[in-house]
This record gives sequence, structure tokens and C-alpha cells, in this order.
Amino acid sequence: MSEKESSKKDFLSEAEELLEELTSDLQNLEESVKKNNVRPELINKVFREFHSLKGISGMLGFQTVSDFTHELESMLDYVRLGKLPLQEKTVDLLFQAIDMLNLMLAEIQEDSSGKAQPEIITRKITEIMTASTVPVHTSAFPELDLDDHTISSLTEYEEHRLRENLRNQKKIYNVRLSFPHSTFDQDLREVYGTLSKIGEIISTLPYFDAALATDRMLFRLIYGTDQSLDVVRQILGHTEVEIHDLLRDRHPEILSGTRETQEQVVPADDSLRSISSTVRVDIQKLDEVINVIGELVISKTMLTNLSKELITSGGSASKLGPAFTRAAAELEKKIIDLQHRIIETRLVPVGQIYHRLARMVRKISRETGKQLQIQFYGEDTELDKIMIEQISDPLMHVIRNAIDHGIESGEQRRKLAKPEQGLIKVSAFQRGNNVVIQIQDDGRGVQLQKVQEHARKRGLIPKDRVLDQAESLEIIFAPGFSSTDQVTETSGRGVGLDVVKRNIADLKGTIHVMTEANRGTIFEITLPITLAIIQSLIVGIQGTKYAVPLSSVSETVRILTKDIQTVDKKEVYYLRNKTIPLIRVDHFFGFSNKSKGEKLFMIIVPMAEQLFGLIVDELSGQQEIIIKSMGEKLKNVPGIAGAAEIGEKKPILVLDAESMIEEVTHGKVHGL
Amino acid sequence: MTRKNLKAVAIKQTNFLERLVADAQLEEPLETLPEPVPEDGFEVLVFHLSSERYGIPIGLIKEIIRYVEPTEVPHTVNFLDGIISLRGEMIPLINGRKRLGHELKTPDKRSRIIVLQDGPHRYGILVDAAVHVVTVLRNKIEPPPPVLGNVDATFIDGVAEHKGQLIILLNLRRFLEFA
Repeated sequence: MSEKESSKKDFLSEAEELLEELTSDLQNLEESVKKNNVRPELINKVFREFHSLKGISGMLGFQTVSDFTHELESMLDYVRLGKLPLQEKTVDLLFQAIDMLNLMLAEIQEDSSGKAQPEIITRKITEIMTASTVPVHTSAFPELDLDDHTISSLTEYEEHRLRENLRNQKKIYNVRLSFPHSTFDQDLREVYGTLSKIGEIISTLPYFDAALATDRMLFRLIYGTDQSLDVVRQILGHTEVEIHDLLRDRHPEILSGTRETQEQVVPADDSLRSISSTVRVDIQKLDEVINVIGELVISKTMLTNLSKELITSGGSASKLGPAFTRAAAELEKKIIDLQHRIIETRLVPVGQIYHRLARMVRKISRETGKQLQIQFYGEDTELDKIMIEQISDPLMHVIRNAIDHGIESGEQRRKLAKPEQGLIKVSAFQRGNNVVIQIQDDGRGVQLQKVQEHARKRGLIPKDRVLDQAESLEIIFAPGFSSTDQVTETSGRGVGLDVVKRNIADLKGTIHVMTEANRGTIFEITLPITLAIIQSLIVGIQGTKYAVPLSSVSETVRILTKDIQTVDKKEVYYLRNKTIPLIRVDHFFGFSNKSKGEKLFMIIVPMAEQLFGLIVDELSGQQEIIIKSMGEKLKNVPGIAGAAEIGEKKPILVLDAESMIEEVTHGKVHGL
Repeated sequence: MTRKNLKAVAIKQTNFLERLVADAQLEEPLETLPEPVPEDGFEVLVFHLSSERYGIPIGLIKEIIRYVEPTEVPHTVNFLDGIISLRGEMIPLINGRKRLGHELKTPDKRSRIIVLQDGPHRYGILVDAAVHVVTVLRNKIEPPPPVLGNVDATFIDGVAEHKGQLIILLNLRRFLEFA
């Protein structure tokens, strides 16, 4: 297949998925318009889907589709901002547009043209948009206790949402939050999740207050909700928080609290990634699944026959025991086989997104006038389909970022005796149970000085604070750091590295930056191959088995109790001239009796450049496990990632070594 | 859901091999003829905890299984006995006696786990025995008496009378309200 053909196929399959998703969303939208309870998230989702469609069609050169979806996107932008009322006829028009897009895709597929005439709909859109009668608002909010500076820093969308919240008689609060630098990312996300459940976060603004501790990040949220101050305060729990009512006619209250809660929800999503969850599977893989199911049917027949014999055999049933056991074992083997094959159907080669990235780079090269070359490695590396879907947007942003901020202009490169053509290398490879994707450029490197200045300007760090290299590289992922304001087809509307990091974290992955001045920058994204199956170490603690994901373990060492030493009342072990702080898992979990054995095992977990040792009583081998959630109520148990079945009577718990170390090093739990 | 269906569900969802070795049906067989449920009534599953009879509307019950030993989960509330695997799904097991502050009892062969479906979430409740399904008439429900053994009154929606016996209707909202 030629490259062009293959790109067409990719495009069609993606566009089709988007249209399917859009159709179902429009149906929901139509219903909510009828009931008059349109949720802004839904409009945003439809907006993003059209935006994605515009993105991929523009990237792959299907100009008519790109132009048409641009019109639709603009119309939805009007709706989103409240400039255009959402009526049944608007939704109707959107449905017609979907039909038109389907027709256009069919023409692309058949290489024909002439039947689809998007102009008819484009004309209707223009009509609707010019006839829109919603008055344009001035930006003052007399009813709110907000200073002009704050109001002027709201985006048009945020202003609109604020107005809508007021119109719906919501209470508007100013929520001031303060988090430690080290964890603000996570903390802010938790607050987002909690608050989004009972209201709408209209705007997030970082701010700086000299009176407060300088080692903390300060944020203020403008928040609309039905709930009373008390309820909001209570649900926020432990976070250091101050809440004011912004409505002038109410008596202002100030509240603060320190109660502990463990709510954590993925924040409202503002990325542009495709939302479709359809898996396209190679028919051969499905055939294999069918074969296994065929064998399962045979096993079932065997069991049925045996049970009939059992019924008729009367007293001599005991000799059927072994046969039963064999049949059951056979059945189990096949079920496991089936499970593996089904998981395999989810794996697709990373190369699928390389084509898209290459085209994007070519396009950016044209736009920016920078000469660029992109090289790809490891395109056969397989990843879960869902991850491929969700990683393509972050990858696009990282590459865009490398080109915008990393690669110098041709002139500068000549001066530095670099080849005029900038180089971007994308490589994927497997490392243990993870897939690593590296994006390397040969540009100027992250300019630490500039990063600091920028962070200061954005109010992310106090004026006199000096960051070291690691901190500087960390802060480029902070919410509010991004300065991208331009709207382009490839990168989003002001989506920054914070979103990239969050998207990757959602996939249980991590992102790291390595940089060297004038040599370039490497962004390294590490992802689990699949969210489904994880290779684990099975360990025993006081007679109970637990699993430890192998991805967290660097080695295991057998140690003697008498070799454990104490430093500052904390247990450590000296291994190859390194001091390894120990965590006794049984203490961590508060088990009363101490392991008595002379010999113990130390599981070494590397974290943040340091090694930690988890102490367990026994090692009983490795096993592939499927981590299962323990449900809503038990999803945040410290030190536990979930549960798994290993073919024994009871499920076993899966330890979360990283969270244990975090807990212990914050000194919350006895154990060190 | 009619009581016939409930029974069907309970049986259908029991593992095949398990059914070969053990009969996992309810302690007392349900009546076979479904009686029509009157308009002003609803069906509840009656179960035992200590010497008391409690009722839960059957619409919330996914199935009833025999007691299986849970895996303990550290750092959780004391009335959570742990988790059990229901055909691969991990379900928190709430000890009914501990939740209501009764004195403890080792599970025996009459012990049952009632699996509740609460929206997308499932919970198991360990009870002494699951007895049968009865129809409760709405106008026969009394508010909870101020003193009812040593049970916290907020756990109780009301008390219903059925054929001379008192059935305490559990307030499941409250029962499942914990972090």
C-alpha cells in the first residue's frame, strides 16, 4: 500500500470513529435541549470532536473536510460562549452536517466528487450566526465582589460560564488554595475532581502572596455551585483553603479547614484527543479467539459428560475425581489462553501514529519556515489501543513544543555550526513491562534561566526564588506555565505541558525531561504496555500473600535480621555502600506481631534517584496478574493499588510500593 | 423483580462446579408460587442479624451467596471485613453485625453474603442468615421506635409488621455511607 493510500485509510477510520461519537453526542444534546438542561461539558465535547476532525483532515490534506469542519467548529464556539442560543434547529443543522460529512468521507473513499455540497450547510451556518440575537455582554459583574484585574484576566469562555452560573442562581465562591511545591500538581487535581462533582470550576488563577509561606503554590478558583459554603468546605477537607462568597448581597464568610479526605477524581478534561473507544482488530487475532472458544466448548462437553456419569455411577463416584480435576485444569488453561488473546487484540503497533506525526512535522516545517527532519525508531513496539489513542495528542504537543521552543532558526543554527536542518527523533522501545517513547531534538535545550523568569512572570514562584535544574525542568509541567495562546490546527487552544503530563499520568505513565544546553532535549514518556496485565512478584507477609508489580522493583535481596541497622531510630540496610531506608510492610499495615524470622527479603524499589527496601518474609515467584479495582470506597487505601486473583481461594492485595514510600517519607505512618 | 426471578438469578449466577458440590440456595426455600404484589406494597428480603430480622427491598439485591472468607484490607474502617471476589469482580464485604454495633459471631454454614447493587457500585453484606422474601405494605410501616435494642436509629427507615413478626427496614443510604 502506498503511503498516500495508507494515510487515507487511517484518516477514514479515525474520521469514522469521530463521526460515530458525534452522532451519539448530538442525540444526547438534542434530548437535553428538549429538556432544557444542556450541560456545558457536552457542548465542549462536541466542539472538541469537530476540532479533532478538523485537525486530522487538515493534517492529511483533505481540505474540503477541514474547511467545512472549521465552520462547524466556529459555530460551536459561538454556542459554547453563549453568543448563539442552542435551539433544536441548531442541533438539527449539526445532524445535517454529520450526514454531509459521511457523504464527503464516502467520496474520499471512492475517489469521486460532486455529490457532496457542504456549501448548502455552510450557508445555513452563516445565516444562523449572523441572525443570532444574544446581546454581547459588557464584562462588568456588578453583583460580584471581584476586582477589575481578575475580571479582565478571565477568558471569554470563563466569563460566559460565570454569567451562566449567575443566571442559574448559583452561588459563586472564591476559593483560595495553598499547596506545597512538591505535590501541588496532584493536590490541585484532587480538588478539581472533588469540586467538579458538586459544581463548576469557572476559572483557575495562580497568585502570589508575600504574606504567606513562600514554599507553597497558591491558587484561587472561581467556583459556581448550589451548595452552601459549609458543604464546599467540608468536601474539600484537608486542603488548606479559604472560601469567600463573591455575591455582594450575602454576608461574607471565611472558613478554613484541615480535615482529612481521600477523594480523587480525574479532572474535567480539556484535551483534544479523540474520545472514541472503538477497537479495530485484525481479523486473524479474532480468529484465534474463536479457536480458543471452540476448545472451551469441548471442555464444557467433557464436564457435562462427566457430571452425567457421576449421576448414573451411584456409589463408585470417587474414581471420577481425577478425571474431573483434569477437565477443570484443562478448562482453566483455555480460559487463561482466551484472556491473553483478548488482551492481545488490544495491542497495536506504535507505528500507527508515526505517519500522523510525520505529516504534522512536515506541515509545521512549512508554517514556521524551520527546516526539519523527523526520524522514527521502533515502530513495531506494541501498546494497548486505548493508550495509542490517548498518547497521540500528548506526543503531538511534545513535538510541537520541541519545534517551537527547542529547534533554533536556520540562521542561529548556522552560527552554532549545527546542520541547518533541525532533527527530531522519536523512538519507542520496550523496557521491562513498560513501553518508553522518547522525543529527542537537537535544539538549544531547555533554557533554565528563561524558564525561571517565565515562572516568576506567571506568578508560579516568588520573585526571589531561585530554582535548581531539576526544579526548573519540573515547573515547565506546572498548570499555568504554558504561554501558548495561538490557535493552530495542530496544537490546541492554549494546551500546555501540564495537560500533557496529566494525560500521561491518567495512563499510569510518567514523563521526564533531560536537557543539555545547545545539544538538545529529550522528553521520555514511560507507559505500561497495557493497563490490563502486570507482571508481579508474589510475596508473603506473616503468612498472607501479596503482589508487588515488577515494574516498581529493581532487585530482591535476601537479608538477615541481624544485619539491619538503625540510623536515627530508622531501620536501614547497607548494600554495596549505599544506605537503603527500610519499610516493613507489616508495620506499615499496622499488623501487631513482628516478623520473627531470621531471614527476610528486601525488595528494592527505586524512586526519585533513591533506593528503598520493602521488607517481606517470603518470596514465592512471579506471576502475571490483572489488577482489579476494589471499588469506590477502597480506591485510596494507602499502600494498596488494588486486588488480584492468582488462582487461590481468596484474592490477594497488590501493593503500591511508591505510595508506601511516599506515605512513609512524609512521616505520616510508622514503618520507618 | 419478582421473587421467582430473584431465585433464578441466585441460582444461575452460582458457579457451575460449586453447584455440583454444594447447594448454594437459600436456607429456607422460597415459596414457588409468586403472589401478586399489591400496589401499595413492595417486596423485601428478610435476613437475620443477632436475634433481629431486617429487610432490604429486593430491587437492590443482585444476588445472595454463601459465605466466603474475605481478604482483609488494612487501613480501612473496622466493619469492612475485606474484599471478596465475585466471579473476578472485587467487592467490599461489610460485616452486618459490626456495622450495626452488634456483638460478633463466627460465620457458619447459615451465613450469607447479600450482594447489593448501588448504582455502579457493589457491596457485600455479611448476615447471619437470609430467610425469605415477603411483601410489606406501605401503610403497615411504622417509624422507628426511639429505643430498638442498641441499634443506632439512623440506620432504620421504619419497622414493618409481617404475619406477627417485626421486620426492621434498613436505611441502606446510611448503611453504605462511609469513606
